[in-house]
Amino acid sequence: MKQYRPHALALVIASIVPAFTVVWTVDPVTPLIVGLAIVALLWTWNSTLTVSLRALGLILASALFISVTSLLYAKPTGVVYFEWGFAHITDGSFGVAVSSFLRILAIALPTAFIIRSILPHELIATTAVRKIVPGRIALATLIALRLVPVITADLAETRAARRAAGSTVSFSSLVVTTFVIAIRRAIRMSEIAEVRGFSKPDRVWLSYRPFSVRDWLLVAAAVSCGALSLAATGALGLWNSAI
Amino acid sequence: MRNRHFRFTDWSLQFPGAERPALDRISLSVKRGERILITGPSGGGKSTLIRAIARIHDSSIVTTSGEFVNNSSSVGFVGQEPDEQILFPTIGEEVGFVAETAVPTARQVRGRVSEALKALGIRSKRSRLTSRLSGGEKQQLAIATALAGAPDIIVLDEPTASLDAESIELVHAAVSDAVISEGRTLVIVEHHIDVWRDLVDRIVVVADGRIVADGPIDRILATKKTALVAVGVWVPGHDWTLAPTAPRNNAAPVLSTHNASFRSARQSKRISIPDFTLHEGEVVALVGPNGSGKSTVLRMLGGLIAPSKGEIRYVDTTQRPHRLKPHELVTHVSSVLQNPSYGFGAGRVDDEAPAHERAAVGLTGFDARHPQSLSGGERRRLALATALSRHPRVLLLDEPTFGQDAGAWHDLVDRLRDFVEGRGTIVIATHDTRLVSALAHRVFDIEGA
Amino acid sequence: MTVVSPRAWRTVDFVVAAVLGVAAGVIFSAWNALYAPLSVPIGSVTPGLVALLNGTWLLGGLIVALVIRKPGAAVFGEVLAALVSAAVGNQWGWLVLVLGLAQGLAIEAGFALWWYRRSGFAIAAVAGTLGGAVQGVLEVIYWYPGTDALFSTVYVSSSIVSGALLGAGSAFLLVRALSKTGVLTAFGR
Repeated sequence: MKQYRPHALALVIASIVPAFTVVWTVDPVTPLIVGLAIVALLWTWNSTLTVSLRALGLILASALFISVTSLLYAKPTGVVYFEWGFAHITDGSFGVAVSSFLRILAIALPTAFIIRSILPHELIATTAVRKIVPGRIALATLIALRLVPVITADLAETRAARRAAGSTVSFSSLVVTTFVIAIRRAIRMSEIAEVRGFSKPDRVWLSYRPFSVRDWLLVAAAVSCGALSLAATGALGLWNSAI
Repeated sequence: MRNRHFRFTDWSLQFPGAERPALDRISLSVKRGERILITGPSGGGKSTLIRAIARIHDSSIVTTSGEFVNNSSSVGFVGQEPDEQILFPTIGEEVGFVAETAVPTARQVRGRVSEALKALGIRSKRSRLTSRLSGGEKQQLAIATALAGAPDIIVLDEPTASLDAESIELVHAAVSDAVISEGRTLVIVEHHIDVWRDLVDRIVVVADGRIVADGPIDRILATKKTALVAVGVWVPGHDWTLAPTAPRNNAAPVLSTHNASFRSARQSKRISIPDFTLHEGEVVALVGPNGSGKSTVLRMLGGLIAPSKGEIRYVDTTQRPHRLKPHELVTHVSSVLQNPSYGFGAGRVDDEAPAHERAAVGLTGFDARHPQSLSGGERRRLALATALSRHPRVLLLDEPTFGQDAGAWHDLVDRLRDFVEGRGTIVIATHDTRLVSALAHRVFDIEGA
Repeated sequence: MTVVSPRAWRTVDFVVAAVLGVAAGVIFSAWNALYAPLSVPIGSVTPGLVALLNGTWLLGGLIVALVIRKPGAAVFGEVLAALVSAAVGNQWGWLVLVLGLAQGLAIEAGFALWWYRRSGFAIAAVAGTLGGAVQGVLEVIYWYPGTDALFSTVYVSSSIVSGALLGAGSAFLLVRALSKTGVLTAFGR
C-alpha cells in the first residue's frame, strides 16, 4: 500500500482552525488548548513537522513585541503599577499580554510547522478543480510562484550591476529595476503559456487529488478541537468576549 | 492545397507607435515537413515573422494587413531565454501543462508526458525541480513540453543563443529527435547557420522588414554569400577570423591576483582564480562550460563580491576592490554583466552613454527609447558603450557577444581593439571561440574544483 | 473578428498580475526583514503609531489594480502578495490569506467606485484608505484585543493614513516609473 500523505488543502484547513477559534475570546486558555491540540493533530497525520529557525525567530519576536504593546495599552483594570503618558500597566494588562502572546503562537506556529510539506501545485490544482479559485487564476499563480527564486536572483544581480556602474543602490531604484525585469519576463512567459494552451477550457488537472477518508477525518478533528477548546474555556469560566 | 502548411501573401505587421511596419508586404509559402531557417540582421524582422508563424502576436495590440493562411493544428514554440521557457516548478507539471488540455483523461495525459520525455531521452524524475536545470536542459525540456501537445510544426526563436557548446549539442539533438521521425515542419530563427545546417533544407533571409532571399540552403549560400555577409549573417565557410592584437612589450602591470578563491554557502564547490598579473593593453579570456564559475571569477575581479580567501589587487590603490565605494571602484574597473538589463539606471538610451560611444558599437538611433525596450543584443552593446564612456583602466566583460549578428559582432570587436590600443586591459568570460582568437593574448580554462 | 470587452482579462493580464503580486510580496518581505528590527521595537511602545507602516502591505493590491485596471485585479494581487509572505514565514500563518482577501476587496471597492476608468493618485488614495481601514480593524481584533479605546482609535487611524499616503503614494510612484520604461505598453500605459 502506498504511504499516506495528507492532502495539502486538508493541512491548510486544519492549520487555519486556531485563527477562527481564538478570535472570539481574550484569555490564555483557548489559544493554549487549540494550539497544542492542532499541533498534535498535524503531527499525528504528518509526522515530519519542520520549521526554519528564521521563521520561528520571526514569529517569537513579533509575538513578544505585540504582547509588550498589549501590556502597555490594555484597558486598565485593578492595581496600577506603572503610568507614563497614555501607557499604563495594571493587573489586567498582564492577562491581556499573555493572551496576546499565546494567540499569536497558536495562529502562526501550526502553519509554520507544515508549510514546507505543502505541495503548492496540489493545493492550487485542488482549489481550481473544486472551483474555489478560477482555473486561469490558479495557473497564473503557479507560474508566478515558479518565478520567486528567479526574482530573488534578479534582485541580487541588480544590486551587483548597480555597484559595477558606480552608483550607490537606493531601495527605490532597486525595486523599479526588479519590477521592470519581472514584468518583461511575465509578458514573454504569458505568450509561451498562451501558445501552450493557457486559455483552453476543459483542463485535466494532473496535480489534483481528491480527499481521502483520512483527509476528511483530519479536517473534522481540527474543527472539533476548535469547538472543544472554546467549550472548555466556557466551562472553566474564563470566557472573556473579544468582540 | 493540402500539403501547404502556411502561407503569407503581401502580409504586413506594425507595432503600435512604430513609424514603419516591422514586416512589410512579405510573401512566403511553406509546405508540410519543410525545415526552414530564418536569418538576417538584428532588428530586421525575423523574430516578428517567426512569432507570427507561431501565432503569438496579440491581435488586440498589433495591426496587420494582407493574407495569412495557417493550417497548423498545434504549434510547438520555444524562445531564446531559458528561464522564460519554463513556467512551472517541476518537470512533470511543465510537460503536463500542454498535455492537460490536449487529451481528455488523466491517464492519457500521463501517457503523453512519458512519450514526450522519452522521445528526447530525458530520464529525470517528474518531481525534479526545473530551477535546478542548466540552460541547455531547460531548453531541452521546453522542446519536450512542445512535443506533448503533438504539434505539427516546431517553431524556435534562437533557442541556443545563450548556451555553451555542450548545451547547443543537447538542444540540437532534441530538435532532431522532435522533427525527423514524425516529419514535422520546422522553422528556426538563428544567426549561426552552421549549428542547424545539417537539419534544414531551406533558408529565408529577412532584413528591413522584407524577405531578401529565399531558397534551398546550399544554393543560397553558394550564390548570395557576399550579400548575406553584408547583412550580418554568420555564413559558414566565410573566413571570419581576425588576427589577434599584438601583445605590448614592457607594459605596466595594473592588476594581480594571489591565491584568490570563492566558496558560496549554497554551492559546495570552490571557484579559484589562477594567479596572474595583468598589464596595460592586455586581453585575457576565461573559458569553460556553463556553470564552471567564469562569472563568479569576473565578479571577484570586479570588486562585486569578496573572495573568501586570497587577494586581488589593483596597482593604484591599497584598498581591496570589494571594499571600495562604488564611485571609486569604477575609476579602476568597469564590469559589464551577462544580463545587461540589471545595470541601466537612466530612463533614456541617450542618457546612458554619449552618442559617439554608442555609434562605435553600432548603436544609432533609439535616443529617446528606454534601455529596457531594446533587444538583448542591443542592450549588451549599450551596456558596453556605457562602461567604455567611464574610461576605465580595466574592463570586465561577461559574454558580450551573445545574440549579436555578424555586423554588430565586428563593430564590437573593433571597439574593443581600440580600447586595447589605448592601453586598456580586458578580461572576457566567453564561449565565443571567434572572439577569443580575435582578441585574447592569454586564455585561462576555469573549472570549479 | 470577435470584439473583446476592454474589461475582460487576457492571458497577459493574468500572468503579469500574478507576477506583480508575487514580486510585491518578495520585495516587501525583504523590506520588512530590513526595517522591522528597527521600527517594531520603537513602534511597540507607542500608542498605535506602529500602524503608520501598514501601507506597505497594501502594495500588492494597489500596484496590480493600477497596472491591470480590470475587475478583480486588486483582490488577486493582494492575496498573492499575502501568499508569498506566508511562505516566507510570518505571524499570521494561513490567516494572512483571509486578511489579504479582505484588504483586496477593500482596495477593489475603491477602484470599482469609478468602474476602473480612473487610475490617478486620488483614486489610489481612496482605495488605500479603504484597505488601510480594513487592515487596521482586523489587526486590532487579532493582535490587540483588550486594548483601550484610545489605542484602537490611534491604531486604526494610523493604518488609514498609512494606506492612503504610504501605500497609495508608493504604488502610484512605482507604476508611474514603470510606465516610463515602456514595459506597460501592453496595458495601455
